[in-house]
Amino acid sequence: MIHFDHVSKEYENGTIALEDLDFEILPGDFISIVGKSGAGKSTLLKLIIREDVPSQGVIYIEDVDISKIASEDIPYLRRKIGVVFQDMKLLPTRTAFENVAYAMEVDGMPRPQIEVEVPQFLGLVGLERKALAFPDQLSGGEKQRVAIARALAHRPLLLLADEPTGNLDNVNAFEILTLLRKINEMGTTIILATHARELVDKIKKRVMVLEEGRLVSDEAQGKYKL
Amino acid sequence: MNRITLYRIFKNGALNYSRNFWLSLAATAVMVITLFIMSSLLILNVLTTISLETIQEKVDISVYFKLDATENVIKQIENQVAMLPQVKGVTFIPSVDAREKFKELHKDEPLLIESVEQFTDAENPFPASLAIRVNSLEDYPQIISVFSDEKLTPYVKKITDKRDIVERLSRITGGIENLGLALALIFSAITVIVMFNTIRLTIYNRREEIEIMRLVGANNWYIRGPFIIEGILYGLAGAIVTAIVLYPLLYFLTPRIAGFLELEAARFDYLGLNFGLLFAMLVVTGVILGVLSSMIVVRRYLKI
Repeated sequence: MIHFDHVSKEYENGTIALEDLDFEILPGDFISIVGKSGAGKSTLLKLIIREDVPSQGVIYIEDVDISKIASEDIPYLRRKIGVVFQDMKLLPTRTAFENVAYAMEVDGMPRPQIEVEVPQFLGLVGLERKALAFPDQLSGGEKQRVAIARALAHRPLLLLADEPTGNLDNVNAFEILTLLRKINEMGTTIILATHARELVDKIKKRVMVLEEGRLVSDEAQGKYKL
Repeated sequence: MNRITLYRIFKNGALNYSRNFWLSLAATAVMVITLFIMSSLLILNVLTTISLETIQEKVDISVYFKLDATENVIKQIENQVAMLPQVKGVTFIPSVDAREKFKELHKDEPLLIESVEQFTDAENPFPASLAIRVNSLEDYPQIISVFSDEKLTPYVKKITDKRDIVERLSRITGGIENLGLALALIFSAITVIVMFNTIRLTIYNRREEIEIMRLVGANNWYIRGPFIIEGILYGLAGAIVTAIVLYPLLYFLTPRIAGFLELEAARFDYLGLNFGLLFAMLVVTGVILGVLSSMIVVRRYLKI
């Protein structure tokens, strides 16, 4: 599904963020990418959604070289990928419902479909009752769940989660993890970037370890190790 | 872009305007100040132009005739003068009228009136005259030279030409006009900069939203559109509030100013203070300012 073909990323100031990454991600995978901050986790995710382009190597998503996508077509790539961030990134002036609906509206989905599906996504993350709440009326865990509901709104094949539990306490973090696993079981490929040891050890799925931009370990049933 | 997308762009613009109420209010208020200052300066400019024209029109060349020039002769001269292309109008003031005018002017001085009334109509010492109005100040010398013609000089007693006054006045009003224009340009520039910066700040506050919109796959027009709608709303709301403030002001002031300049109100309207036209100008200026500011600012945060 995703193929990194000897990808390196060097910033203009000479910092090497990623070095010669070569791996493949299969449909339905649940992959944890671990590493200290600065190891290159976020850069890797940014390359996948074309926020940035590699300085060397090629990234294929479903056999398409994504660096060749024209800039006006990038939104279409992003609609195939759901993204969840540590800081949630919800639109502050929109309710939970409207935040999820926004992602569907950009796709030109008709209103009746939105009316039906948004409550379903909010239901999936357990927030159907908070549909009319604004982000600042929600707790951190609730906000993150709205963000996940929004990420699912495009029915993505791939969900990227960048430190989704970074701002949450343990209870909320585990709830988010449970939710991600549920989504994975429903067929969505998940890439989770984190440095939360307890979480990773619990997942018991593929773990990739990044250290200073290099892939130092890639085990099918890995544990968090540095 | 299909209809549903267009509808959503409008809806999101309106939603942004109302949900960011205080920011929108601030931007609209600055828009009102901008439009108010610009229109006041415009009105001031129109006023100085009108007053200059009025003054020019009031000043005429008066040609006084000797007492032995008969009315017939004067009428003939009047016809000749009226045919000159530079002449806007000629009025014949017979000596009787001249005397009445004098009496009117000095009605508080009974001694003068008494002495004037001692003359019969036949011995009336007030000369008959022609008041000649010309199209432009530059034509004065030409008109005056007509009367230095040999055939006419015997009849002419005196020509008063108030060119001095007119020239001095036009220098002053011209100065006011230039100064006004310079001030108008400077103040407009200042308010436009303030306006632009206010909109910039309201959008700067929301640059993260733009990033979020990009990340959930909104294309550039879908992001830019609502901000442009917001700009239009700032302009529209600003124009309406400015009109509400400006109209009563104009409504009460117009008759006074017109009275002061001895103008007819209708003409005053016609000269650019037409309410409908003014409102249209406010709306167009406001919307252009709002949209332009929004577009320039959003561009900066939309770079991929």
